[in-house]
Amino acid sequence: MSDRLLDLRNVQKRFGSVVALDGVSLQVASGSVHALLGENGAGKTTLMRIAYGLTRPDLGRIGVGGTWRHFRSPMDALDAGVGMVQQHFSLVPSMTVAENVVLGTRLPFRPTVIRRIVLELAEKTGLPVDPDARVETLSIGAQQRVEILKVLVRDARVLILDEPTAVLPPQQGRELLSWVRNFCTEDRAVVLITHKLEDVRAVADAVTVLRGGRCILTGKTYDIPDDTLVGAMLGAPLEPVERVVRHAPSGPPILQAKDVTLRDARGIVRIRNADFSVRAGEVIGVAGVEGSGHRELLRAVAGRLKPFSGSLVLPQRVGYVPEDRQNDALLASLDLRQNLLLHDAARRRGFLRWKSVERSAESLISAFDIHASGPRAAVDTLSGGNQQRFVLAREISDRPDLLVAANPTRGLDVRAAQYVLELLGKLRDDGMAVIIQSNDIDELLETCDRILVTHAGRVREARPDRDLIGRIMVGAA
Amino acid sequence: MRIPHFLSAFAAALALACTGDRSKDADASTTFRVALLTPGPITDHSWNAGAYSGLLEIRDSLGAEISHIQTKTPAEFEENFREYGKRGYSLIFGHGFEFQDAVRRVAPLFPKSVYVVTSSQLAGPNFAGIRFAFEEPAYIAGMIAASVSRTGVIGLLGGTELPPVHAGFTAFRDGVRRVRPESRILVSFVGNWDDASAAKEQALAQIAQGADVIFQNADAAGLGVFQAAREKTGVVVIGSNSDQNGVAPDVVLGSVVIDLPRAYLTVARVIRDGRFTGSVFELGAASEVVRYVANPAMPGRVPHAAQVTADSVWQAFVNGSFHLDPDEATRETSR
Amino acid sequence: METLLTAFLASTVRTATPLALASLGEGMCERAGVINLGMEGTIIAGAFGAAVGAAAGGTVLGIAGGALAGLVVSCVFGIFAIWLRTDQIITGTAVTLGALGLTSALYRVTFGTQGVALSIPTLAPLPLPLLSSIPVLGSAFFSQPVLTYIAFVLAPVCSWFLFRTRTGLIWRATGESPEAVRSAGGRPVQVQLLATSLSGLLGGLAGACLVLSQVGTFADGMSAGRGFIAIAVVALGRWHPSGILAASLLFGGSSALQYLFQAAATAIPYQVFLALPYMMALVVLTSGRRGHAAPAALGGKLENSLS
Repeated sequence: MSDRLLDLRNVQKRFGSVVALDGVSLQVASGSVHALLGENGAGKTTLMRIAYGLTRPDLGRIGVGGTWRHFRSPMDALDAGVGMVQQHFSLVPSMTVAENVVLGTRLPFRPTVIRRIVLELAEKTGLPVDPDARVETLSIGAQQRVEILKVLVRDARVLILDEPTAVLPPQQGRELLSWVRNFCTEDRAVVLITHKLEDVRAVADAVTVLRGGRCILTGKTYDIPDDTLVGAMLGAPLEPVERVVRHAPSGPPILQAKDVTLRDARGIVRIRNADFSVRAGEVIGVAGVEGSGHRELLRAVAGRLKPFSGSLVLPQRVGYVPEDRQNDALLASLDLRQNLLLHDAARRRGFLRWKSVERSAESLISAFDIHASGPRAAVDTLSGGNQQRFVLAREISDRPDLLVAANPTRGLDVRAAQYVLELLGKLRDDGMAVIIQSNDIDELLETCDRILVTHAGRVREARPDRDLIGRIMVGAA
Repeated sequence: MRIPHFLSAFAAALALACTGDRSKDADASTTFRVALLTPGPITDHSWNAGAYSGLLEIRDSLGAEISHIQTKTPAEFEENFREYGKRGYSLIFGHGFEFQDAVRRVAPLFPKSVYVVTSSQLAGPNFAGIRFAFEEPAYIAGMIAASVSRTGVIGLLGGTELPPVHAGFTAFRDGVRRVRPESRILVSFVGNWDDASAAKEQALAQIAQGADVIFQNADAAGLGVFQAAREKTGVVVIGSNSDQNGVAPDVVLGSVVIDLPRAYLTVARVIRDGRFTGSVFELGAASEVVRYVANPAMPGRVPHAAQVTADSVWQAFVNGSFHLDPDEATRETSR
Repeated sequence: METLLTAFLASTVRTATPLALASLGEGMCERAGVINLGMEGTIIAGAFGAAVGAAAGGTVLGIAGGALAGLVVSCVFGIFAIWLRTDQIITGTAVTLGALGLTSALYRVTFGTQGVALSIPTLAPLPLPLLSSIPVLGSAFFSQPVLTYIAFVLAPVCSWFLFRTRTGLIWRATGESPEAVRSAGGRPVQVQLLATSLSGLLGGLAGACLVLSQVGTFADGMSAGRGFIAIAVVALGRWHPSGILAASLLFGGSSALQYLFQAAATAIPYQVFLALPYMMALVVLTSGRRGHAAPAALGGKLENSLS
């Protein structure tokens, strides 16, 4: 096993009655990028948390560089040369980049020294960061770079990245993947958890597909055709996506923005003099790179952010699926009934009738095929995809005039994403106006009637042309 | 309201269980049983310690069966008064005027017991207050303080401004003024009866203002006043309530004593002998329950002439030829 | 006037010392994400431990006894609130009430109803050469018992530890995001247990200070709410050791000021003066917005560590 930098053998793990991993083995060769592909809940993240010492396996062995190891904590994994960047970053927001990078290391702790170490490392690895910036002020992309540096500063030879491109706009995602390619020299390896085929094709040398806690397929990427990979992921061939037939919106305008200027919480102008309108019965897409103002634009049309100036006329009822559903849309430890009540909590008066709330929750669960043990299941017992479905179901349950959804397919597997997009199309056909923001231009092109692009605070409508949209996003048009 | 009822029922059941199946009435008539509720710890060398000694005295001199409990909240006062009433105690003391509301409510329910509240004007068929003429020895202490002070600045330091504290301070001030009308009097309150460290700092602040005699009435917190005097030369302290001369013999000039053991014994004798008339127990100079006790470890500190004057005023209190205007006591302490 | 000023400054320093010790302990603890409401309990335990120690073997044993008693009480808190993950607020309150009752009972058992009176040996002031002869300031700041110097040296030491050492970085990160620490290979539970122990040690010293350098005896409940004031002082000092020291001095100063005001016999009711330190704290709390806010993970339970 000399060329096997990371060697997982027969790993088993169960959480309560649920079998998360049922004897999975994975061999990652030196100098290779190994993609770990699978639907939500396939066990990809659990397997890698075990490889990083965050979760203890019930059974199985972990080998690194030819030696069997026993990891009691991430410290042991890092000492062995295994590092992981989790999907939800584990940074300390109030601390500086330099402090976050050296946290838990044995480096000499003097501000000037750690600053220099971080700068040198950033230079050497080609991951530019400002060592003195506080993490909470950074964009998602920069935070991700800090996470990677945190691992590299410990001389990790095996780098595990969990869905790294999911949070990035396309351009930055491509840059990251090419960085991964360059990073992966002779004595190193990268494990890339993803459910995007294009990521696999772009960078992976080898691929392993997990489904339901079992290893379904493993091999060299170029040996395996797309259909086989998709089949292995889903277990059944995917139905061809039905192209949406566009039709002219018939309804009256329900949202009108005139000369709208938006400021973020820190008072920085994020959107300048925006003019646009939305009619009932159309789907509007919003595209933009990190920091271009799309985030504030979405919050404004959802009624969560008051314009600093200009006039913004919104319909009476607006449903909102925020980007960070776990923190902004759900109370994780409460059950589905209570989370359902949150929807119009501010308008409620008098006593709660729990029986009717329970019935509504039940009907949402069955109507939207949410996998939950019942209305009394706590939200954090649901998988990410089911949480997303629940939020969406809740937000459209009272038939709003407008639905605003940020990254509605983020973190969803192919099947779940398709379901959500189809649902949005159906709502449009019923006369609802829908605004969605996505990092995936193709997804917008497939789903939307019109597309608004934000760049540096300006909002522009763009023809449904992939290249044109991409150029506007990066400011090249 | 349901909970206290439930609790008292529970307490009654508990009481029955404790006394077993002995006949309660027979038992109560043969044994003289006396209970005490104090508002603070009996280790304070002062107010509460004195009451507890009184209770022990009753046990030793009258052969009574005794019980003591420390209470904090009015709810606890009432609860424990009920409990002792149910258990057939003959005499139940509430040690301080803060107990009088609870007694007024509970006493009518237990006509066989007598409830006595110290420092109170309460009176009824089976309950009464004890009024200490604390002002009389405090007046004497004021006269002596004035004669001892070199600076003419005298400090008064209390816990909180309860009516009895206020009355004592007023009399003390009048005593000072009788001897030295021009003297300056400083008044501070700690705000509680526990914070000995704050009391010490406040004493030091008075000393910094020139005070060289401090009259303290702050219970456990008052310990800090003695410590302050110890650290500054030429400062003496007059203690309160108990004889505190032994607490810090090097700095205590004397103590304004309420002889609580004697008071308790006096009251207990009246109750045991069935001489209780339903009126307030007035205990002044004549009863020897209140008096000023000079510290024997500090002889010759008080000028002879001053001592003679003070003694003669005291005699006038004892034989009733001189008494303080009761309205005086309700006047503002110093202002 | 100079003597009055010196008296004021000296009183400020004396009043601030136990508060500074307790607040530094609480502050270090909160920086690691634990809010220790048992502080009041550790102070009273420290006072009792100091009384027992000093009565048995002098002031040195008294200091050791105070620190040890505080440590024991905080360990009880740590075992429940951190190890067994009970609610920190409820556990802290229970520990405080328990310690207040227990010390009162133990005091009676140990010393009888007559108590120790003022017989406990106390710490004499330790004038620092040269510094103590500075006019006005000298006798106020540099002629104090040893525990005062410990408190004043401790603030920069804590600062240095938190902001200039690797362990301090992990300590602060634990208060902000235990998950990040765990992911970086640290052990948040250990850090929090350690932080709680330190707070107990310092709370115990605060109690020892009350007995050994101030009153010279133990009295029931003599902590008189200092543990709770310490929690306010930490917020006032913006969770920074030097800020905490400054806030303690401010509290001590306003207390000393109210003592002087009361003693100066004005026509204002004494209750107004008693409220002075708290009113000043409110003013400072509402006016100062700069500096570090509360640690993000303060009072929270740690996620189940290895699931």
